[in-house]
Amino acid sequence: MVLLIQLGAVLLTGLVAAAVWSKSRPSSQAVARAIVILALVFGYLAFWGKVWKASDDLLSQRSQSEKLTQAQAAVAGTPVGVNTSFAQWIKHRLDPGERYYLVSKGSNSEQVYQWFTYVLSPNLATADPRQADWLIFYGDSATSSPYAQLIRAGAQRFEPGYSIARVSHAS
Amino acid sequence: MRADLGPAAVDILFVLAGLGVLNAVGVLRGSLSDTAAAVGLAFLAGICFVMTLSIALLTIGVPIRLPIFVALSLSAALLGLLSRPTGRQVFRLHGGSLGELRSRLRRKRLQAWIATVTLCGFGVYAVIGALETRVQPLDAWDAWSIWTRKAEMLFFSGSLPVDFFTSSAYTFMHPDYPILLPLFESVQFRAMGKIDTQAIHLQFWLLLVAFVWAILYLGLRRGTIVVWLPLAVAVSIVPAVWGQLLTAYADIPMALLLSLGVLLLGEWLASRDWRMLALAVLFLVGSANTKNEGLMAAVVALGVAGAVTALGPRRVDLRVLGLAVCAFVAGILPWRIWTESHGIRGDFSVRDGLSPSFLADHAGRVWPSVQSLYSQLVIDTSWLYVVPLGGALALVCLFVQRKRSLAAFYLATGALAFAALVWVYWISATIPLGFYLSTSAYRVVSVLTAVAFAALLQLASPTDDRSELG
Repeated sequence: MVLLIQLGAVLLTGLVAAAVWSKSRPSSQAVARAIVILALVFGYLAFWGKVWKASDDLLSQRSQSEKLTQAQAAVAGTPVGVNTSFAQWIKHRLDPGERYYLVSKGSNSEQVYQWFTYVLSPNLATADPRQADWLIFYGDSATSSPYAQLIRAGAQRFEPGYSIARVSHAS
Repeated sequence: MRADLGPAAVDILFVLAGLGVLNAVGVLRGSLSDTAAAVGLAFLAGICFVMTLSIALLTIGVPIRLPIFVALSLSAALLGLLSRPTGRQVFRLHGGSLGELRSRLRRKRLQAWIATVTLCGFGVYAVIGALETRVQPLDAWDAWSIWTRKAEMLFFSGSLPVDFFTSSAYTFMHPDYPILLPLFESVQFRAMGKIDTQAIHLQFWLLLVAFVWAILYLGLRRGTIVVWLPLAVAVSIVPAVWGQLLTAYADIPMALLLSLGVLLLGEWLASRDWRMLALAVLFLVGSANTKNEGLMAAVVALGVAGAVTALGPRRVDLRVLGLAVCAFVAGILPWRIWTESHGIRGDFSVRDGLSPSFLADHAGRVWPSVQSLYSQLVIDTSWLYVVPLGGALALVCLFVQRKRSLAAFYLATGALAFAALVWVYWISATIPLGFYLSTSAYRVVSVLTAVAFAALLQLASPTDDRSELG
């Protein structure tokens, strides 16, 4: 309905403007010309009316953004509640080409999964823990996990509930 | 330092490649002023051309690293510039488009004054935007989860990492989505010498600046710059355009290329100038290789152009359009063949989408999708009335004899693109629909606003004042 009203308003304005301009029954071409003039005026008004606000918004965003260090900017997209320092800690432990399987518990496991697989690139995640070189336990205990039998040696703990462990077949 | 100079060098190569393409097509006039005016269009054309070739090479196993990219860009530039005599004069200083513009504006002093002030305002705004985007952090979900993730993998591997695209561990990042944008980002990262997720935003901003520049050049060449100028610069301050652009999502880049493609297709319908069709196909391929919605809208636009031509007096042009469609298919096919051959599937099956029983089972998704898309289109603070303005003008032009077929082209393209978007929501497997709509409808309507903007530009142009591009 809103679009119809907007369309109607533009058409009516064009019709009235064309009628005033031509002082007789306006042709379709005259109405079209009036709408074009309306659009051009609107274009100028929109540009000059909004360019200050848009520039101001951009400048304030810049003053916020330039305060960020490179390290802060790199994790700016971290979903709320995701332990990104754990991801950074893991990053230094994976060798090039090594793959991992993420064992995550909690309501935000999808966010954790997507963020970790992004931050840990170019190391790839696997869908099958047996094909992984590492198991990553996020919010879960390595020893009580159903994947415990895949672990070759003891898990390396980052903090309680956050650890990584090599898979037994991995060299 | 390299984080700034590297991408600048890449952008210059895109411009050179684009100038080659424009010259090969016969658009350039062969003067420095014309070349300078064409930089925006050349930049976008270069991206579409070089990235489409690069995607084709990637799919046959050729890694895209800087030497290959430089070779491709310079080859396109040299071959294109040498293909016509005008190519040897593109950097020669003599009167051209700008001189013509000066004399045209001298006759319209008030308009000239307004236009000059507006261009200066746009220039300042463009610089402010560039300063901000240089430090903008990558914080939007789909940017890091889908687009830049792929770009980073292409940066690390150079070639298409098959395990990454085919692993079920990564289905969430939509491996079937076209890769023009990730490839573009990965080339920029290579030029930077590192992954700088802040500096990459500047490249997105340049797409917008180049788009405005391209519209101004086309307006200048067809003698409608006075009409197109306020509309072109207004695009840059549309909140949904610059706001979404800063997210580093693919929607606005796709919409910018789509809008140019549809506009040039409309130009071809009006003038039957094959050069317009050639450029239209290039930008439609670029749009289709950027996002699936771009592919859908490009197919719709080409189909409608075919119908308009078939119903019009010059059916012989269907043959030319047929060739253009073949070129379009050739441009989009490599990625589609690669994904198909690796068993990569999208969110929905076209076969399901054509099955009456499947459609009937999912009919409950139709109305919420219509409502959601519609409500996004009419938010005046997002798109600044581009749809009602373009729509009303097209409706009136249905009754203007010389513009009837063009108006029908834009109205049918817009309506069918809307229907196609609804169809995608209808048959998509994504559940729940409410979440899907709330996270995507505000972006995908850029397809419709792109068509509406092209309609507004072309239908606003006086038919009796049109000058040939040549």
